[in-house]
Amino acid sequence: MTSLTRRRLLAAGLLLPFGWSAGQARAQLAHQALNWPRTLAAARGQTVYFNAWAGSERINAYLQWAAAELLRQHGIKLEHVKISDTAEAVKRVRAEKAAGRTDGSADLLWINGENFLAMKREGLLFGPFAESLPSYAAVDTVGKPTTRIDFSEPVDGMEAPWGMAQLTFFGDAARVGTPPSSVAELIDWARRNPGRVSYPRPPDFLGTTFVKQVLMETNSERAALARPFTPQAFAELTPPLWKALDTLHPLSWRGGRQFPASSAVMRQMLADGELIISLTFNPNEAANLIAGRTLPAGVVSWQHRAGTLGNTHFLAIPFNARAKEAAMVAADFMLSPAAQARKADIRVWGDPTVLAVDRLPAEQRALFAESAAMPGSVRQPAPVLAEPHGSWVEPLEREWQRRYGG
Amino acid sequence: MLTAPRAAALAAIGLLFVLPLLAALPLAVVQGASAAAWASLFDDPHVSQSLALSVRSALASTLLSLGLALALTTALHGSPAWLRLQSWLSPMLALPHAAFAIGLAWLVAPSGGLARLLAPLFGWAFPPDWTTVNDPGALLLTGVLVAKELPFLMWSVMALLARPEVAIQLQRQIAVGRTLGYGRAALWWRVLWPQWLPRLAWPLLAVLAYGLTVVDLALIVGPASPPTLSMLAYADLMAGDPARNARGSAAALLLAAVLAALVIALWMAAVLFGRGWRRLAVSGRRRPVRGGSPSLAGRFFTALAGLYVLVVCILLALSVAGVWTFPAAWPQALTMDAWRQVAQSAGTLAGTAALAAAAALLALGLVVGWFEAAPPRWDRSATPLVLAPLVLPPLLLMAGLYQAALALRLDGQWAGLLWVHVLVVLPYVFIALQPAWRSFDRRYEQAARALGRSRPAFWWQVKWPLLAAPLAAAAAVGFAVSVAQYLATQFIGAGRHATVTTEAVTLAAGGQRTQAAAFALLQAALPLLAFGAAAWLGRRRLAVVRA
Amino acid sequence: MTLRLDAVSITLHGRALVPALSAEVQPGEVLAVMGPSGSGKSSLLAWLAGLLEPPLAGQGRLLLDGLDVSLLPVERRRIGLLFQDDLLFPHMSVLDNLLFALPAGASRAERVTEAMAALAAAGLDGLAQRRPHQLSGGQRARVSLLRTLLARPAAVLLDEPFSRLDATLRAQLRDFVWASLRERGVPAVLVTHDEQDVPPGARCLRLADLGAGRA
Repeated sequence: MTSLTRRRLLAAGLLLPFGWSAGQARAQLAHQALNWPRTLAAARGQTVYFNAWAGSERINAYLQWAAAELLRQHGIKLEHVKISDTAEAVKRVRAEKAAGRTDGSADLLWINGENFLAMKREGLLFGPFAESLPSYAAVDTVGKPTTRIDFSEPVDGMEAPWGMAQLTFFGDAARVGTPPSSVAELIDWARRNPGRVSYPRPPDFLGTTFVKQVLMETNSERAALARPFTPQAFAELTPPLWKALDTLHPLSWRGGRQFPASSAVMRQMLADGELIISLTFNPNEAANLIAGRTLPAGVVSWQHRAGTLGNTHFLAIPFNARAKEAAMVAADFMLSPAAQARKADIRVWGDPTVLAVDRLPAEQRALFAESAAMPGSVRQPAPVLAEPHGSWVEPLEREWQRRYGG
Repeated sequence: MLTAPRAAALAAIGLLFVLPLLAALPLAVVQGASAAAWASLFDDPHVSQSLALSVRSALASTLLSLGLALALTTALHGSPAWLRLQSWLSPMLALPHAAFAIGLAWLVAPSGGLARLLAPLFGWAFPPDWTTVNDPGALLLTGVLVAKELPFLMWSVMALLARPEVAIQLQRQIAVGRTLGYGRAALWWRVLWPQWLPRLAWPLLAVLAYGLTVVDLALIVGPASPPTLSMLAYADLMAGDPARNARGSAAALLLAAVLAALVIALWMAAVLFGRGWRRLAVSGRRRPVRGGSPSLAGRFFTALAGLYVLVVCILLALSVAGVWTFPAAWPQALTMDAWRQVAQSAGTLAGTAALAAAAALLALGLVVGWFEAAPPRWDRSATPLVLAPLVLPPLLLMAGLYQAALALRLDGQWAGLLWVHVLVVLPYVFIALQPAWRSFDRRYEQAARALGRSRPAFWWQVKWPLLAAPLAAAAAVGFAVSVAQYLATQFIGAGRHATVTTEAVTLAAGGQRTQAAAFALLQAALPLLAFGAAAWLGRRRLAVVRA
Repeated sequence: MTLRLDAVSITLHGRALVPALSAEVQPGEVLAVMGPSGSGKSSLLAWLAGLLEPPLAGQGRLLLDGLDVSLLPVERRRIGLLFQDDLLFPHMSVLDNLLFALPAGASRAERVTEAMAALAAAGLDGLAQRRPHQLSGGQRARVSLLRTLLARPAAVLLDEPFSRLDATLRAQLRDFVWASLRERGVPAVLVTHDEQDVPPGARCLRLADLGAGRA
């Protein structure tokens, strides 16, 4: 117990310079620090309804493992509530708040981006809690700044980081040839291979991210993107984007008149051979699928040389969760090195960790065996580009719809 | 007249069905009633295109399947092929729409079965540039709708023709018409269909409403840019942003209004067309008796049944296929992962079956209670209300019911979920059971009473055994409908209760075709078992009923 | 047209139901077939019309003015059939029912005139636009007969056509039927179990007397 308390204070000390109102932070953390053992005790026997996207059975299997571990270690029942879109859970929590329900249907949410923005602004989240979790100490907040700034919105401890995402391309090595490592090269590649590349139709999250990637790459002056959206900045920065897309679309799948509905559909088309290049958020996804024998072994992954957009995905607790303590314990477990290592294992899921691996003690670092050499994983990781401010998303999507949606 | 048991039965029906329905509708409408929502809806430049796609595919599929159903009946009724057709209908109806779409989509996709078959002929090494799945004109969607609605309409026609009073009329009128010099086909088109087409109004309405508001089929095979209006509404209602939710509600209301307008337009067209048809019908022209049609119709139906079998085979193949690149005719890697996952979700399977059985039986009880207890006047005017859940856009209905469930603290509870399933299942059970109940000879009861038997004794010993076959069939229908529910389970179940269908849809949404195929087959197996059980129950009584 | 039955027999599951009988009916005359229920008289009528279904079967010939029509399908025989139920098409008006039966060829105006004339002659004018369910039983029966006759049949079969009507109506309708048939010179075969239905002077065949019918 005492070691935990010491770690708590150490963590508090590390976090203080990061711009929180010091008095508030100290009071908050001190409050939490004293309660962690009590939290653990209160959590025993509770059931956590974890609303998480269930479209991949590898992720589902990982969550089943996590549930077994939580039951064994802390006596907590983790129920994986399978949803097909996080927005479903957000709407539910919003409706429950409107109906004045203090006993919610969800205890833990897998979330990021605009969903988090909405929930935070509408006061639908419980917290702050993330930075007082014991495992948070190991999070790489310096090397992975997106763990504290989600789409340019400060996290403020209202959600706990869970995994890293970075826009990655993948395709069959034999048919791709030299992987194009920039948007310009991609357009050239498409000229030689018409009709074999595409991206999900915005407002699909991945599709919007691709559009943002093109926006970043076609503008050398990106400072305005980090600031909130203004119509002038939009008018200044977006013309090269539309020009690039206008060039790319006729060379892409179905002549750019149609776009796949989601990344999952694209993955299937790649596996079938209809597309040659596809995209994903998980740099290890291709390797993971090859290991699961749903993709042929010749698939490789790559990122654009100058960097691709990246972000973090998180775990959050709704304001009206019935099992708040158990949810926090579960989030803490998900942040633990053991759980993060297993999650990052390409044979299990391959989702990159949020922890600073090199700062971990030796025996925990060993858990993160280097699996970069597995077939299909990214050979040369590229830098992570910071996402533009969240307010840019909607105007971009709207304009894209207007130009290409029909 | 209004005895205590009767009052109790009617009260139960009122509480469990009528009230929630009446409560849900305003709740749903209110959500979409803001001017801002409608403004943003019409702001979208693609709304008119989406609406046109929805209307075209719904209207075309409804009229096409109606025409085919009438033509098939005309050609095959009375021949041995008719009975074979009847036995094929149950399995065809039991295969869920989504499962059928998944299999058919793979068949016609550029990297799918048909293309792989043709690849050696044309020397394709990569998938050809076909625009089949998600074609912008919604042709594939229309085709899938026709393939799924035709068995439903055939089932409705068969149910209609199986009614004793109709069956007798049929035989006699054909006999009389033939002696007047008309061939069978001519008699069907000139005498029989004009009489009975109005009785198919409700099934047709259900088909049109489904085609207009379908979401899961449009997701799998429908156009993407722009999608149908129902897809737009669904995407908006599912989004996290309340403004988009309101716009989705407005779109759903628009669909309801368009449905009403279409119904009125079709009715007027039918009246006008009917007059012209009548004049032609009594022109006296007797077309020569042709013998060719039955075999053509028979072959068409065989082809359709064959398509269903093919789709099931495709699903089976997909469920064990690992890597399967074009143009390989056989998967390069087989995997049992999907079925292993199915085995692990035995609990979900049991839960789905339990929920479906409970919903079907409860709905059955309510419907029987209504038939027995309701005065005839109420019965006639109640039909529109009972059938309302069929016709209202499910998105609207579910949104409204969710609000009601929230207020009653029933969200996430099994009781709340059961209640909503009963609501959705009841119209189908009603439709399935009504013909049998209506045509039950009242004199049986009079005879039983004259023999000194009490009412309950009559029910137990005479009425229900005689009606066992229709009761079992109606229960099977209710079971199947409950299994196929997605929105109801997701909304009101608050994600706490997983069914086979919710698993299948989330897997399909995640692009895991292998798992989706396995769960689709599972989704189909449950209703098939129910229909099989119903048929077994019914066959035993057949001799008695035929007498 | 003269109607002739030539060694017509009906079998059920191979066993004889109605033994071979022969008869001839002159234009305007009526042949009455009588017998208790189950004696096969309705089956005989069905065979004459061409509507007999297995397990019943018939042998023999049916000649209309010397032409063997027993090999022709129902639609081509031009033999009218009147049932106990009027079987008027309920969704059509009385006029439409009659127009349905009239042959094609003439213009619509001419056909309407003929149908209206027939209605008037039967004392039914003013009912042309009514639906069958709006008519009385007697009126419906008369319209049904008109419909049968307007199709210009070569012969008419009557299957207990008066059994649904009460005594007074029966008498009126009987007279009307025989008069119409005689007027058009159409031979008829009547099946009944009521002696009073048989017109005076008609030939009577009693099936029970012929031995093989089941009592």
